[in-house]
Amino acid sequence: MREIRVLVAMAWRVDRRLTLAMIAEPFGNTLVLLSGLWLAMLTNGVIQNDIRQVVIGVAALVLGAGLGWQLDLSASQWRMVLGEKVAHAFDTEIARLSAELPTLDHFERAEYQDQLEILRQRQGQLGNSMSALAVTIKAICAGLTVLVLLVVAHPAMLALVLLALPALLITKAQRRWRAQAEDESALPGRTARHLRAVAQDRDAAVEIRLFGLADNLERRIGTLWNAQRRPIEHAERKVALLSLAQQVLYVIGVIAAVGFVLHQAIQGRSAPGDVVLAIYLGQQVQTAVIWPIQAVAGFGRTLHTVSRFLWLADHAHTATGNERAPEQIVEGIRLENVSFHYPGTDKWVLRNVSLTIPAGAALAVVGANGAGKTTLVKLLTRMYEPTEGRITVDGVDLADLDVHDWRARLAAAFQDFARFEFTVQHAVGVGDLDHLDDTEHVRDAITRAGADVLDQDAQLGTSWGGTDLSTGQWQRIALARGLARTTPLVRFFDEPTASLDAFTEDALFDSMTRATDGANGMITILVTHRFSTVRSADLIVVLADGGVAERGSHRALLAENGRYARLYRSQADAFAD
Amino acid sequence: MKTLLWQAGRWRFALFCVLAVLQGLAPAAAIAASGVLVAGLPDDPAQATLGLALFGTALLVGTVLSAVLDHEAAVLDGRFAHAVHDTVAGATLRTGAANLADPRTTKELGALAEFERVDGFVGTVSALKELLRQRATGVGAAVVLATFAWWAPIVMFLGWRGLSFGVRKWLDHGMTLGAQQGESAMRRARYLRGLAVDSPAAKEIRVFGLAGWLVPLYRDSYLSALKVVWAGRKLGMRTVFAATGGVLLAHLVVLTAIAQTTTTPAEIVVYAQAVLSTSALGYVFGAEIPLARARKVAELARTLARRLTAAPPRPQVVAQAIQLTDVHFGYAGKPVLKGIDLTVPKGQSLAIVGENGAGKSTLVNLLCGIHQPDSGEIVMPGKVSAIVQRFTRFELSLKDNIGFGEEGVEEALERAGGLGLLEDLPHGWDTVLSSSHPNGRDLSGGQWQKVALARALRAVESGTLIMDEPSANLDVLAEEELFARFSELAGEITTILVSHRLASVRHADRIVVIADGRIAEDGTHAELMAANGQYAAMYSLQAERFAEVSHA
Repeated sequence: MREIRVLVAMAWRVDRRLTLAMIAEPFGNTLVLLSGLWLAMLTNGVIQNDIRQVVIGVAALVLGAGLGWQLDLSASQWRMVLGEKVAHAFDTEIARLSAELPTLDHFERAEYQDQLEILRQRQGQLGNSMSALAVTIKAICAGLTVLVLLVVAHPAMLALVLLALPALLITKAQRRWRAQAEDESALPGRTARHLRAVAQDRDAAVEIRLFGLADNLERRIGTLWNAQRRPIEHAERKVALLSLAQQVLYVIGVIAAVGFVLHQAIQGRSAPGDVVLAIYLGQQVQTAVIWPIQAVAGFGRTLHTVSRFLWLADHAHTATGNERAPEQIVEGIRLENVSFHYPGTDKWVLRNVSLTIPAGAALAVVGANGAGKTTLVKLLTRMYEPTEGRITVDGVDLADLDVHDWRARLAAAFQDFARFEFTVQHAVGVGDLDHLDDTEHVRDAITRAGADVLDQDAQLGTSWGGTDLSTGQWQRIALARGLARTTPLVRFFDEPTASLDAFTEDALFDSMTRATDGANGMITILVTHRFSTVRSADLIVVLADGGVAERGSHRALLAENGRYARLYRSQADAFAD
Repeated sequence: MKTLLWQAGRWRFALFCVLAVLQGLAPAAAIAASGVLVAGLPDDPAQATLGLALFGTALLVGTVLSAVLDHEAAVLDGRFAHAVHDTVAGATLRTGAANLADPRTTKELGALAEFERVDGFVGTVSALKELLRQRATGVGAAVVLATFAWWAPIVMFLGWRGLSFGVRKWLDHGMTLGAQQGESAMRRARYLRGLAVDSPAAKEIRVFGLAGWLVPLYRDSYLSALKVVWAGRKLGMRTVFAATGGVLLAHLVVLTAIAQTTTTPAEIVVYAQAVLSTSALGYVFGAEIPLARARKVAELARTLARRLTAAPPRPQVVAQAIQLTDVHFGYAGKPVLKGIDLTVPKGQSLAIVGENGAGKSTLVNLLCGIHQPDSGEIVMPGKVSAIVQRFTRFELSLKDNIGFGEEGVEEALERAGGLGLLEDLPHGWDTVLSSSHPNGRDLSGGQWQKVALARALRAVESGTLIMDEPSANLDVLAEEELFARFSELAGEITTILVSHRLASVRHADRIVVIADGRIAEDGTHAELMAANGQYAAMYSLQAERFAEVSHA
């Protein structure tokens, strides 16, 4: 019920006139359904030689057919427009909710993927729900009209409705089968969709051709498609068989009903016109009684989408703390016994990490792949919350801060950066929305990232007639974005130079270590494999096996002659002659 | 569309059509039967009962056929969609990779994706069934009506076809995003939606607080696309109003004639019902729209398949060296490579260095055969294998990610230094490498790189292995390990390495520096250092950062 309320409220919000039209439209539809009545009147008129009845019958039939059709068409136009408006409103809302979900938990969870697959992939789905609601109302009105007509033909014909009732039970079972089949086919369906996308992907094209994967992928896509369809076909077979049983029963009822009215007419207890009405209704009832039931069932299916939307809305409103983030860091950031594992897994990525990062410091985090370096960044940016332990900023628990407020004071360049296909100005400018269109400000960031090879007005992405960049160039754009906020509290550079050439890298290290004027206690956190970068950091942390293996300054760590010293020397030796 | 339907199952489909027509004729039979029934009123109970029996039979047959057809339609729907997917994937998988970057291809694939989003391509056969059924009903009714007067079905037919024409006009205006501006606005909207809801940009969206900026952008481009549609639809409605008048007129003419000339109620019942049933000759909403869409889908798939012809396999040449002669190449008229001459003898290890954007990746694409040179010649002996910068993360098992069902997976992963991965994976080799699979597990960037490397190593045999920035995401030890393996391979096979890590590059037999689309420097590490050019400058810059300790 909450789903219907949300749906109608949204429709009412986006367009009141159309919503009202939607509610009024089913009454127009009854015009068509009354045909049986006019037909009966025409028959009686001819038999009784009553010209008045004949004229009314013909006129009503003509009007009913023509106007009913026109109304039907207009209504379907209204339905479409309203559906599109509602879809637009919901889709905007879905995009907003997804983009505002405070954490990234949802991307890691299979159940979320299944829940939101349809919402995410299919723009316009919720508009269909609105149309389905309108159709349902229409179907119910049609059903009621037919009931009234049945009474007119002969009250005993109402017994037919009893025969239609099993359809309700059946529909419920059918819906369950279909839902089950949908669940079963979700996984192969998703993989098939992924592989079909891969088959069209320009980047994947290189490997597909080099390794001769075309046949293999094609076969897999076929197999997965069949695996996806099999449960659906199986369910449809059961659905069809059950429907058949019920409908045959029903049709027998119709024949009996017509037979009954016929008997009455032969006895002279009913007008011949009533037999005509009964015949006409017999064919109409089949649809008019089953249609609303099917419409309700179909509507129930689309409501599923609405309930997924509600699930998302509820999920997005998880409390995140509401304290203001500090304007400056005075003491520093402390990790107190922080442990973390990704949702749905039980492998600790970080275990009991305690660490103090003093205000104004440049911290370098090094360690092997999978040691938890990036996870540390994700925790500090609150993409995830620690599983155990806590992180404090000047003594205040990070979890108590308003997450958006906290992030407004961060800057970051990630290893898996986004490729924003905007103009260069905007692709960089989004790093500091307050200065989005400030050419000077953005140019400055671009220069500091060494990305000034591109025109600031240039559009990125070939889909929009723009330039296609190499990975290195994209990374520079991402870096410039990370440098756009000039006075954040914490800056994160997660492998910022993986694809950069020597000149750019060099210039960059300078700007990463410089620009720390210390006024607001800005902390720089650099995650890297490159030991050349970390030497100038105030504090170096070596992560290994989910914990801090070593910590200290470059000199101290070299003197310690442990893991860091070993790794550093091995890289340095590579340059030694 | 026919070919695709045929592909979905020849005989099954033909039988299906026959049954759909039969089902459509059932109502006409019922109408005729009701005539027999009413003719028996009120004095001939035997005739009326016969009519009732015929009427009941017609209904029952229709019902049984309907159930059979529903099920068959579901099966054939799936097969039709499969045929569409098959055609598209078959074409994109085998055509030259450069064709995929063709804006026409992007547009067609985008249009197909848009159609797929609506109904997943399933629904075509159900729609066809509905249309056949309706048309059969209409034809049946017309035949019945013809027994009243030869012209009556013609009048009704013309009335309904007129309306059908009007509706189609209206739909042309209002259903498709025919207008260029609407189409591109919709594409933009989808792109922005992807940024907002999918994972690649998720972190940056959050850190930079972009939701409040991005979502209105999405909302507005989506809305402007819809507005184009709405404007078109309003325009077409006028034709429909006119055509409705025609339908009314046709009904009036025929029904009046029936009321005036017939005398028995049986005739009235039969003919009037027949008149009403001719609406099945008009526009069948539930069927014609999906069918029009299916026709477009089939057309798009066919266009794609026709244009994206399979790329001929690269001719296997017998040569002892890779040979590039005066190779020129550019994108959209902008030259990137401006005359590359390069000979790489078999077994040599070659490193390519240069600044971002100098043309290194383009050269790699040419060597891999993804692009053909605009002018000049490339001779590549033997098999080419590569680990590319943006390798593919298949949502498949570890085993399939490396070998795609072939042997030699374990050895390849070992050579790539990735056997340690197995410890992390709950189902070992069979673990699906995606966290969105139940029991699946996503890998870190570095782990994925090892998988991609193993994939490349398994395929290399005795040809050429190209590595484009293979160590970008690897940690120090893994990188060292990788280059140690790289050196081992050198000699057996030709290796080409593109990297910014000059400490690794220096051990290559030979280094070339690409600058401004040409080979600027060419030689061993020692030679290039002595030449004191761009390579020496880059190398010194990186080495300096370690200088302190090295000499400490």
